Order: sequence, then structure tokens, then C-alpha cells
Amino acid sequence: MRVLDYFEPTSVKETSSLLAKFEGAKIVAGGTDLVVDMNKKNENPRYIIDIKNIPNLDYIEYQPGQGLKIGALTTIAALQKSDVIIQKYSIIQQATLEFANIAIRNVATLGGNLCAAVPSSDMAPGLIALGAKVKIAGVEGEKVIPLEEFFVKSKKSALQKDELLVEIQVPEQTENTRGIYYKFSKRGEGDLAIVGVAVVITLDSQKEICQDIKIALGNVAPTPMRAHNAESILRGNKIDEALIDKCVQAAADETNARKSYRASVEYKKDMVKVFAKKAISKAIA
Amino acid sequence: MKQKIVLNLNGEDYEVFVLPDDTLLDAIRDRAGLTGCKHGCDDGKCGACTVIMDGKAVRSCLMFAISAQGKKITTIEGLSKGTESLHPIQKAFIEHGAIQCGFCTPGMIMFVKSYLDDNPQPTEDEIRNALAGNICRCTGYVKIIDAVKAAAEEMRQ
Amino acid sequence: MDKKEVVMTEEILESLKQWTEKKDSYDVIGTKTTRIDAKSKATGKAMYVEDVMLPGMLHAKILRSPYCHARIINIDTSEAEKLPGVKAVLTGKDVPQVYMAAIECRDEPLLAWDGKVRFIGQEVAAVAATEKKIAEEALSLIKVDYEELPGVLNADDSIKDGAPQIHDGILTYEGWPDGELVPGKVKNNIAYHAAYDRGDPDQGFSEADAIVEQEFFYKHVVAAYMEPDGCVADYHAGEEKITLYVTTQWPANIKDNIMRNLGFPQNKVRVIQNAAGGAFGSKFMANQLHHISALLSMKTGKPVKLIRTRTEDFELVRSRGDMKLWMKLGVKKDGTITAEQTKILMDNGAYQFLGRRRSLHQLERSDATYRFKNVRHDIKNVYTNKNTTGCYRSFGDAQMAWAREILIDMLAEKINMDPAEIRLKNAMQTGDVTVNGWHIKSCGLTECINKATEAINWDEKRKNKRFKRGVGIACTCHETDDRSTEGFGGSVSLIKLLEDGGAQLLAGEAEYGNGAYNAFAMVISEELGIPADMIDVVAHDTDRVPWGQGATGSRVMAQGVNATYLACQDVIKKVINAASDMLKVKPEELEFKRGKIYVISSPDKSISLAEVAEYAIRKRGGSMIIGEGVDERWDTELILKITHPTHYGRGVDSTYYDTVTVEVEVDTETGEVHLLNVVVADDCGKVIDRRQLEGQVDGATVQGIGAALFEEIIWDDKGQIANPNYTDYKVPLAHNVPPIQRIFVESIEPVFAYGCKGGGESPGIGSIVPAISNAIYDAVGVRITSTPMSKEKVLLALKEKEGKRI
Repeated sequence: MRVLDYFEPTSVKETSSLLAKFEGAKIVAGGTDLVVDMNKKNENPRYIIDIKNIPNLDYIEYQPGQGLKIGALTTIAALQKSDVIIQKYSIIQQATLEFANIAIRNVATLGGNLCAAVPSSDMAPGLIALGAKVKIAGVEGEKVIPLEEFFVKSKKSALQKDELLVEIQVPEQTENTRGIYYKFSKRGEGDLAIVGVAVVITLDSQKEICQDIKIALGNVAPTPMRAHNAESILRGNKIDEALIDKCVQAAADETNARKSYRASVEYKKDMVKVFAKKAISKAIA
Repeated sequence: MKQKIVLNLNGEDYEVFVLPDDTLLDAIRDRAGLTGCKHGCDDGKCGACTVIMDGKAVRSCLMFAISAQGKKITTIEGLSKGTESLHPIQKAFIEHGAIQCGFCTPGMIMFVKSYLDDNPQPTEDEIRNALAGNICRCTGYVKIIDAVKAAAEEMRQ
Repeated sequence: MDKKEVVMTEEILESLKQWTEKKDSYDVIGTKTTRIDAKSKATGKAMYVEDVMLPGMLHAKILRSPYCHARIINIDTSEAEKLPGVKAVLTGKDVPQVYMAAIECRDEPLLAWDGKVRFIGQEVAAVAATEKKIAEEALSLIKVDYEELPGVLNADDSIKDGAPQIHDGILTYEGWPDGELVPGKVKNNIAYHAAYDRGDPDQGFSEADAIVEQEFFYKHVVAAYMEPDGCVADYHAGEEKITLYVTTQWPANIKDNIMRNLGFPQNKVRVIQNAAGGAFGSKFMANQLHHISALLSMKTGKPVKLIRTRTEDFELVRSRGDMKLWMKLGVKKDGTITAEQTKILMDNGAYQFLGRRRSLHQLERSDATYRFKNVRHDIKNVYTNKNTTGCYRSFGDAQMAWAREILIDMLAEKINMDPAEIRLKNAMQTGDVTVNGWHIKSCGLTECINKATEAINWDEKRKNKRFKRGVGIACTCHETDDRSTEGFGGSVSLIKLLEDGGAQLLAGEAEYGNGAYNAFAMVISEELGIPADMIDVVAHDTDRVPWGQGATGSRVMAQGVNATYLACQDVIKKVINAASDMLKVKPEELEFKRGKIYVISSPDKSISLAEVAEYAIRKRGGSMIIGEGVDERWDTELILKITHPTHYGRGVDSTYYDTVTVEVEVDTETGEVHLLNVVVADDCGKVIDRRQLEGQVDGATVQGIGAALFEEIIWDDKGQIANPNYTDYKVPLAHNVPPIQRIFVESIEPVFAYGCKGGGESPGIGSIVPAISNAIYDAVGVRITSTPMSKEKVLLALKEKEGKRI
């Protein structure tokens, strides 16, 4: 089965129509996921819809009090260099530093990475821990859903046939909030994750009580996941080492990792504990 | 069905015929005849296909040729043509023994060029981390890093 | 065994004296030069196989078996043949019933003409089409009916009674000294079994004050060279001649096989290699893709390009297979090792290829490291339904070193001796005869151990240990130049002296990235005084260069350098003759020095090479000066031939050694092993091409780090490789490389020019892997006995150790 045609729509509306019209159509932005999947025969599109020519989908806009809006076609490289992200949403930048390598970051888009919906996505855990939402556009119009709900299962997002992801929205973060992302892998930076851990924690003005915490984990479940039980152990309480230990144990227990040759379930749980503890400790330091 | 596209490679326009899912790598090599960039892998991990597009290093094996129209692309052949003298990075690679089998070399050099253009004074650690996107099996990276340091210094002058 | 065998004969000692006296006197040899092919590669102009573009060229793709063990009932190619753009389709019934190259065995039919597939990925059919994508589409139109058979995926299960039999019959080698291939049967999937004693191992063990034994496992790793294997075959219907553009260690072997198997005479097969992107042992002989592309080209009358994808290359490359090694050593209180015993199970994959020869090689190489006197070996080489294994920068030495070097540490611990000390006590020495009869004419192992331990500050780091930090040591022996064929085992170089005083070298050796051609050019610079930019080493072309043995056993440097050195001497002799004619003086009155010919009695009178060269062609009879150098070793014996009665004797000309010391820090939370420092002391004989050798040591060390910490081929339970890509097969990246200190110990090897021998391999293939295991033990007290030493494995070992304390 070979690719029949290559489209370059110039609007979101045109894209949705093409998606609705053609069977076996795949969107491509950076191409760093699709081409690999085609080489592996995991994807066999008949039509390629290249959305890079759609204007106004590549932006990083911050409004005080409103939060951050990122266009789906924004490259990972652009996120890495963005001043506002480095200053106000540093966990996003931390994730970009773990993302593949420089050449891939130059073309890979945030939208593309999220739509690929791989459980090991580097960008997802940090955004989930920030409480991000995504805006989806289709033939019927637009809607906004929490990022956590965007991931249905491994390699499947919530997008319907005619839909595309157009924007990622990240709420304003409060004053005493810090976010830390750790990726643990076999070889280090750029390697596929064994586990990814993102912690966004808000402390009180005395820096003793955890007012709020979100913990998001990568590659320990079919989708990036929140560790709700773990969060509830710390949320509203005074932080000490014993409580952190209890919290990370709960996080490990909540995981739902699949048996894989890359790492055993047991090891992934251990690493969740190790890195969640490191992340929390660093965030409150 | 092949379609005609125009690729701007090293400052020249090349008219080539490509299939819808031909990659930029295939187009540059098989259609335009510039065989410097290489096929090293199937998943964009090795970097042997790296070219510079609008000033940024990209994996030409992960890009569709059609989408590369209208962009300024530089391949290894564009760094020095014919009897022109070599780019400092090429010279440094040669002089420091950073080339053994040479298959990773064009992609490596193009990546290093775009990296040093953006980061003229990198530390050794920064160089190592940046180079982690290009695989070399022969050199153990040691002399490549020596070459990059030397090239950076020369390019600063 | 003749205990009074003299290794350092008068002739050898004379040679040693000569090369030792000269060792610091060279202008070029031993210096850092710029590689002659570097500019081609830096400009993207070097031509690799996939860069060959010929008019009308077709692209080929191969259909491969989805089952690890099956009979092919029927193949229907009719739909594929109809696809527009498809020009030829081949299956097993379209090919001659020949076998692929292997050592002393024929068991691998071309394109499964015997109707059976034996591993997932085995070649079943092939298509040539105008576009790669059309060829791929055509593959999906080929209908193959398989009868699936039960398969067996590891050596332990494969040798059990009742296991599926992978080969019903093979051609096997029999007869000594003359041998021939005869039909033979395979029992329990055992392709080869060798067992022998040397000395008196029972006595040796009974004398021992301490004995240790341990089972080790070495996981399958692959060369993962950057250039996937491939071929462009171009059949010229007018000349009835086929040309193949290849990437290989042994172009002449491809020519021999295509000739023999496809029925061409000598003058009608031409094999060309321009640039090649690495081999490391795993692009060794003619294989399926050479034959398939040739047949497709013959059928279509057009050039056919057949290049593996990276995935295909991972699935087909013949590298370093799984091995289980049980080893036992006995030692006296004073550290003398008294006996060695091994039981080894080699998982060879679906076809023999090199398995038999490797089995013997690895034992004999390993036993050339230390002065073992009493050994008992038992090695089984076994078929399984996985891809065939071959070699990757060693012939089993890496796996032997893994077991041996850890076990020696365990032995040292038992008698409370320092690991470096026990190695010094037992190290091979120059002048020794090994337990298998190899003559050791140069050995710098003791110096390697001393220098490697000194450089890393061994004593201090062993005593004043920082928590979770440790140091480890290991040594390996590798061979240079083994007698691997009955006949010619050497190297030939031809040098053409050009009229402007430059030179063109036609070398029988192949250049596949290893830098051989630069070393040969350095020899010419040294001997003939010709600068590098006036030396041309022609690309390997079997129409132009002499027949060559191929790169194996680290022979290329030593033998190629030797042949080129001898060719230079021949040139000098001929130059003197021509000059004597020119100057009307007797040859004895002339002297050649640094590119000029001097009249000895009036040294201010000289002529240049250019003048002599031009004279020879234009005035003297129109004959260009051509020097021939033939390196041949006449005193080695083919003891590793499988039908040799004892496998005892002078099997190799030279051995080279190394010691690696490494300092690690273990992260006890994650199991990560941080490499803080690596020291490689490489006894490579006289260093020829210093810059290249440094690069080779670096590269080999990093490959070793990969095998030690990250790399392994993983199969699923159907026999499919689960990680045939660079995402999941983890070769080291730039940020995984620790500081590497290189020390060259130059023990002069008397039998090769300048005293050179092989180098730059052992650290990566053998030593660094067990050195890291030994360092981990020194750091945190756990012994890892299977590779790779992944973070998870180390953490598990730490947890088990803690568990034991409770």
C-alpha cells in the first residue's frame, strides 16, 4: 500500500475537512514520529496531510493572570529557548532538555509529541503536573479538555477522525510553586525513558506545608498518569522525609507498568520512588 | 505518481521528481545526486543524514521532501565546493583524526556547524551532550570532541 | 610437547635486535599523520556502496521469513511480477543449488533452495524494481505458504534430546592433512564439539591450595557499524562480466564465491570497494546479498542495488553470539595458577559460518594470556533458530576474557592476593611456548599491567577506598596473523613508481575504515621518502590489486605493513639498478636515503626518485619500476583446522596484549555504574600510525563499554529480535564516554617490519568488560557474572546482597 497524495492545507478548517474526507489520512508536522512509524510499518497512511503551512499555530504567549498558551506547531527547540518558559514554567524547559537531541527538537512540535500519545512522552508529565489543557478543533468546532484526558491508551489520543490539536493551555502558577522533571533512562539525556517523573508543588509562605502538589509519571502505565494517591498524602500536610517516603511509595504502588524487556515492573517502581523523592526534595529546597 | 518539486540545495535550485512520501534524504541523494548525507538507520537516531535547513540542523531522513520546498538547505557538499578551501570544521576533523570509516562524518560535521553557529563558546560537557544525537561507532567520540573544540576556537577568530 | 622448544632462535633474536635498534630512528613511522582518505570523507565525496549510481540501476528488496523454523511449501510470485516497475523476482528454485561461504562446513543454501528456513529474517525471495518503494510493495504481493515447525531459541534447550532438529544433514569437513567436504549428520544440534586436555589438569587441581569455579554468561552483541551492509551488482551482458561494489573485510572472498557459485571464470568477476563504513569483524565473507544482487543483475541485465535497512542489518549481521562459560581455576598460595577447566556452550544461530574455527580459536587465544600449564576444555558449538553468529572484533576472546578475568579476581580473593599481583605472577612472557604450542616472540603484558595500575593509582585506590568507589583490572590476549588456510596466508603489495617520483600502491588488503591504507602510505613515506600527497593507494579492485586474505585476526596492519615494507625494498633495489645505469656506476657504489640516490664516494652528488623513475620509463626500455612485496610466514601451522589431530602447534605468528584498569562509582539507589577513569595499556608492538591507533583504542574501549553496560540483542519468545534499531539497541553516545588514558607498550615483534603487530582491539573486545565487573565488586561487593551490567541488574544484585545479611 503506497501513499497516494500529499496535502498542504493552509487552515485548520481545511485540515479537518481533509481528515473527514479521506480514509487512511495522517497528519504530519515535524515528521519525527510519523516517518519512523512508517519505516516500521506501524503506520501505512494513504494520504499525508502536512500542517506546517497553517499560519498562527506557532506561538508562545503568556498573559499575567491568564497563563500560557502554546500553539501546537511550536517546536521543542522554541520551547527550550523561550524566556517566559524558562522563567515561569521551568519544568517545561527541563523536559525539553531530555527530549531526543537537538536536531530532532528543531522540527518536533509539542502538538505532534502529545498526539503521538506514547506513554514515555517527555513533554506530557510536566504539562500534566502544571494542570495543562488542550484545545482541539474539528469539523464541528473547538473544545478544550484536560491534558490527562487527552491520552486514551498507548499511542491513542482522544482525537476523533476529523480532529487536530491546535493549542496547549497552561494555567497561571502561584508564587511559591516549583516544578521539577526527572527522566531516568539507560544511557542518559536523549535516551528513551525508563521512567519520567514530574512534580509541581506549591508551598505555603513558611515553606513548610504542601498547599498543593501534582505528580505525573511517564512510561509506567499505558498513558502518562497522575499519582493521585501519592499527592493526597502530601497535600495539605507538613512535609518531612517520612511523609515524602510514604508519598513516593504510594506513587510506585499506583503505577501500572507493563512487563517489558526494557525494564522490569519492579525496577520501574523502584525508580519512581527514587526520582519522585529527588524531585520533591529538589522542588522544596 | 511522482510530482516535480524544487529544492534549494547549497544555494542552487534543483528540480527533482519525488513520490509523496519520499524523504528529503532520498531526494537529496537519489534525485539530486548529492550523496554526502547517508542512510544510517530507520528511526532518526544516528544523525548520519543531518543537513542544515534554514540555519537549523535537521534529520533529512525524517522529513518529507515535499515539505522541504522553499527552504534553504545546506549539505556537506555546500561547505566547500571543488577546489575551494575547507571549512574550519572539516579541517579540524581531518587534522585531529576524528574520521575513521567516515560514514557518520558528513552528518556529524553538519550538526557541528549548526551547533557552533548557535553556540560559539561551548564547554566540553556541552559539546558532549550536544553530540549525543549523532552516533559514531569507530572513534569513541574522543577525537571528534577534540576536533569540535579546535574548530570552535578557530571559528571564533 | 617439546619442553625444550626454542622460541627465540638466533634468527628471531637477530631480527629483534635489528628492529629494536631502529625503533626511535624513524621519520614517519610512529608519528601522527593525517589520514590519506580523510578529506574525501570530510567533504562527503568518499563513495560508499549506497553512493554508487549507475544508469538504469534497479533497487532490490528481500522477502524474509516470519518464522524461526519452517518448511517452504510454495511461493507464488505471480502478483509481484505483474506490478509495474518490477523487473525480476527470484526464489530458491531460480538459483543454483550452492552454499554460502563458511569455514570447513557448508550448511547454508542460497536463498533457501532447500525449502527450509531456520531463523526469523532468513532470505526467502527477492525483487528488483525501478524504485525502492515498488520493490517493497512487490514483497507484500509474494505469497509464501509455510509449514511452521517447532523451533528452539537457546543453546541449553537445543542440545536436549527431543529438541527440534535444525539441520537434517550438512556438508562437513573430514580428513587430515588433506580434507574435503563430505555429507554429514548433526546430532542434538551440535555443530561442533571439541574437548581436549593439555598437561595434567587433575594433578594441577590436586596441587592447588585454592580452587574457584563459576558460570558466566555473555549476551549477544552486534557490531552496529554505521554503514549497513549492501552491494551493487552490475552484470555487463556484452563482456559477460559481473562487477560488484561492496563493503567488506574480504573483497577477494566475495569474488571467489561469486565465481565458484555462479559459474564465472576468473577474468569475469570484478569486486570493487571504494569506501566502507566499518565492519569490526562482522562483514567478513561473501553472503546472501552478494549472490542475490548478482543473480538479479544477471537476470535483468541492469545494475542492481541491494542495501540493507538498519533494521535488516540488525537482524542479519553476524556478530558476537550468546555464550555460557563455566570455568574453574586452581592456584597455589604463592599465586601460581595450577590448572584451568572450562565447559562452554556457544549459541551459534541457524548456520555454522565461522562457529567451528571460533570454538578452537577462543580457547587458544585465551590460553596465550597467562602461563597455564594444565588445561581441560570442553566446548560445544550449537545450532539454534536465531540469526547466524559470526565475529565482532574477536573470535570468542571477549567472552573468554569475561569469564577468565573475573574468575582470576575471585581466585586472588581466595588467597588474599591483590588482583594485579596474581596477574603479574602468571603473565605470559616473551620466549614462552603457550600450553597449545604457540610461540610468543613478543609480549609486553607485564609492562602493561604495571603501567595500567600505576596510571590509575591502583595501590592507593585499593587501600583508601571511597565509599561506593572501586577499581578493577583485566587483561586480554589477541592474535596477529593466524595460519588460517593451507596455502598462502600472507599479504602482497605492489608499488608503482610514478614518473614524478610519486607512488601508487596496489595492496591486497582491504580498507574498510580501519585506516590500513594510511599506515601503508606511511611505510612508503618512510622507506622511499615520498610525501603523503604524492602517494595514491588505489581503491580495492580485484581487477587491479593482488589477491588478499581479508581482515581477520588483526592481521592487516602487521602483514600489510610487512608486505608494503618488502615492496619498498624491492623498489629500492630496482631504483638502484636503474640509477646505476643512469650514472654509469656499479650498484654497490650507490646508496638510497630519504628519497634520493647518492653515490657513496661523493655524497653531494645525488639524483631524485623522479629522475630515476622517468629514466626507467622513457630511456631504459620503457618499463615502469614496480616493486613487489610478499609477506609470508612459513613457520606457522594450520593447527586450528577442525580435522587437525591435536590442535597443538605454532598456530599464530604473533600475539598482542593489553591491560585495562578502570575506576567506577556505583549509585546504590539506581544501580548506575559511573565510569570515572579508564586506563588502557596496549601492547601493540611498534606503533606505526599513532593517531589512528589512538582512535582505534578509543573506539574499541567505547565499544567495550557498550557491551559492558548497555548493549544486548533481545529476542521475543517467537525468535524475533525485539530491538533491531538504535533506539533500543543502546550503543554508547558521546556523553557515555569517560576519560580514557592510552598507554602504548611497544614490545618489538621480531617477525614483522618495524616490530609491529596488531593493536587497538583487546581493550574493547576483552578487557574493559570484566574490568568493570571487577571494579563493581571492589566498590560495593557484588559480582556481576552476566553481561550487560545494566543498572537494573546491578541494583538487583545489591538488593540481594542486602537481603542476605538479614
